[in-house]
Amino acid sequence: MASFAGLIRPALWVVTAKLSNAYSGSTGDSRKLSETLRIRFLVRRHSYALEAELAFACRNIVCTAEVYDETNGVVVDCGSSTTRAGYAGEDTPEALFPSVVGFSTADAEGQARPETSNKRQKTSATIPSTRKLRAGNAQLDYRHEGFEVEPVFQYGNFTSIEAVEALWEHAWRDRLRVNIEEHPVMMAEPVFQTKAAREQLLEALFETHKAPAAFMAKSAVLASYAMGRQTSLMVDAGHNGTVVAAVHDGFVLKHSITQSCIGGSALSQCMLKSVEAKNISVKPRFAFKRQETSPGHFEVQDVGLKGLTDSFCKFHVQQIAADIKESIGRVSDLPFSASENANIPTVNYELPDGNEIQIGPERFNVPEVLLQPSLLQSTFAGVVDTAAAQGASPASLLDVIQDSISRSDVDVRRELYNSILLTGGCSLFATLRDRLERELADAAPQTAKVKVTSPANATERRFAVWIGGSILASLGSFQQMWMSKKEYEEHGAALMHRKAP
Amino acid sequence: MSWQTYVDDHLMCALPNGGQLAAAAILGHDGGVWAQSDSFPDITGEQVTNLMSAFSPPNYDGTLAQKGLFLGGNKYLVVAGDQGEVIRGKKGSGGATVKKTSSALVIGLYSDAHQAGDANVVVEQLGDYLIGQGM
Repeated sequence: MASFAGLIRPALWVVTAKLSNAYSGSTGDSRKLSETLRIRFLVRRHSYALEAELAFACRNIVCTAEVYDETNGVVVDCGSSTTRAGYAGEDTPEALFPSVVGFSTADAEGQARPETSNKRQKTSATIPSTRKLRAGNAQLDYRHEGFEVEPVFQYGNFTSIEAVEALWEHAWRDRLRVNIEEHPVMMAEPVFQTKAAREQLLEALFETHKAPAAFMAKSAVLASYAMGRQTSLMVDAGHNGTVVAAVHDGFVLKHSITQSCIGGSALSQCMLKSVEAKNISVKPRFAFKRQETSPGHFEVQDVGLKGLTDSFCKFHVQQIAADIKESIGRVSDLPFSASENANIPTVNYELPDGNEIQIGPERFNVPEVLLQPSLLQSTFAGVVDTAAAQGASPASLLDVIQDSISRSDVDVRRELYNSILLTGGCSLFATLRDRLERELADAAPQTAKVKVTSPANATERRFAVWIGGSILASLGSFQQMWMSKKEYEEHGAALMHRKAP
Repeated sequence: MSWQTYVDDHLMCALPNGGQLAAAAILGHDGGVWAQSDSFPDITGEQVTNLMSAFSPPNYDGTLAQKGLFLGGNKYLVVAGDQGEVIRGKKGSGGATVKKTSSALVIGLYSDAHQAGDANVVVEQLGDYLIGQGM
């Protein structure tokens, strides 16, 4: 809300000028600074940032921002690549930052967290529970010795609850600047989330962060609401993999959930391998500096990477590889074979250090992995550690979709074929939708009419889950379904499995 | 307490967020009706057998998810349940919750979409109580 505060400032100066005029004008010699004038600004939602702005602008005048309307829910969607957070009722998330935490091996600050219950014994093997976890773009770019970076979600559920809480705290305290004790929290969760994981999250939410109410909604359902459909086959082509789930009237048909471990992260690694195969090393932005040797001519000089950890360098290199994939990757209209198209015209891409690379068949070959996972054994062998993906094997998008439909109720199948929704980061490849529709229509039974829909707007495609959460949390008919803190204290976290199966 | 009292007072009670279940019953594992409410449909033996196999390995409710959950003349779509303990189905704006105890099946049917969570709570709490009592 930085822009909001920016708008407030000029208006406030006018208000304070008038107020101080009025104040000084009335009793000229009794401008007692100790006497304070209280102004209450009635705002839609309480925000510490706004209060700070007001206090600064009004100086001697004590300002408080008070909420006059019912408190808004806060919607948090922790995805595998980015975390989205914002207020319910808005159309885009305010906070967007990578779902990655950094911790310093040399960091000695941070006390061990008090254990609230036995369930919190589990911590990740690599993230010690006494370290201070940092989240957010600014903190992750801060390079210093021994700073490790680790993704919070790996092929399934979160690695440690402290990492998820670090993400939450960054969203609520640093970005949204809300006191979460006053806002109900709508959390989006993956469709395959286990009961134990849910209970851990709820415990952390109610006991450590003291939220007044919470709800956990499946991501497939939320994305479906965002696209205005109650029934659909939701294909979420995300970072860690693709998840396909059938949604019927707002409920996920649990047996129709299928997964593939090929996602944005796998594609970025394939792109990185293709670039490095041309003997070009991708240097992260902090690894070089440009020196002016003669007027107008710059020379790139390497800055030592001494002391920087592997995980940190790898994280930043992956970001560059992801950018290459996103800007020039395309899905071809017909099944693509690199050998047949070896002479395809190349495009230029300029790396951060000024190197220009020519990308030819890789442009189409890399996104092709989504639809032809056999490439992971031939061209891109050894790039993706498929053995590490628990429960999700590398499968083509087509197979995953058809598998999901064949596992659902026979009566619903025709409707599912008719309303396949494609969302998620990988759906941003512009031609993926057309190719998918064509190939599915060939593979599906004759009588089924196949229709693949994707939101037209790129923002809606990426944030469909968050937007659905925002819609759901602001519906009047939903307000009776929140699980309140009182219910948590009476019945425990297991109540959520019954309220929101 | 007779079984009918269980159904009348503990299943057909006022739900926390208003309204009440449309129908409820407690059946034995063999399909025998221990008690039921007025509008509860007749369940055939075959439907009960299918239900019981949906609570057992190896498939659990996998086959039921493909064919559908039949209770009386109504077909319900199987949504997320608890493997081996609870099967939940939905039909239109209503649905069903079936909880398996050691020797009984507690079934609750609701007709309003907003009652789904409450119906789950009511049926499963009675089921947990019966399990605790050894029934």
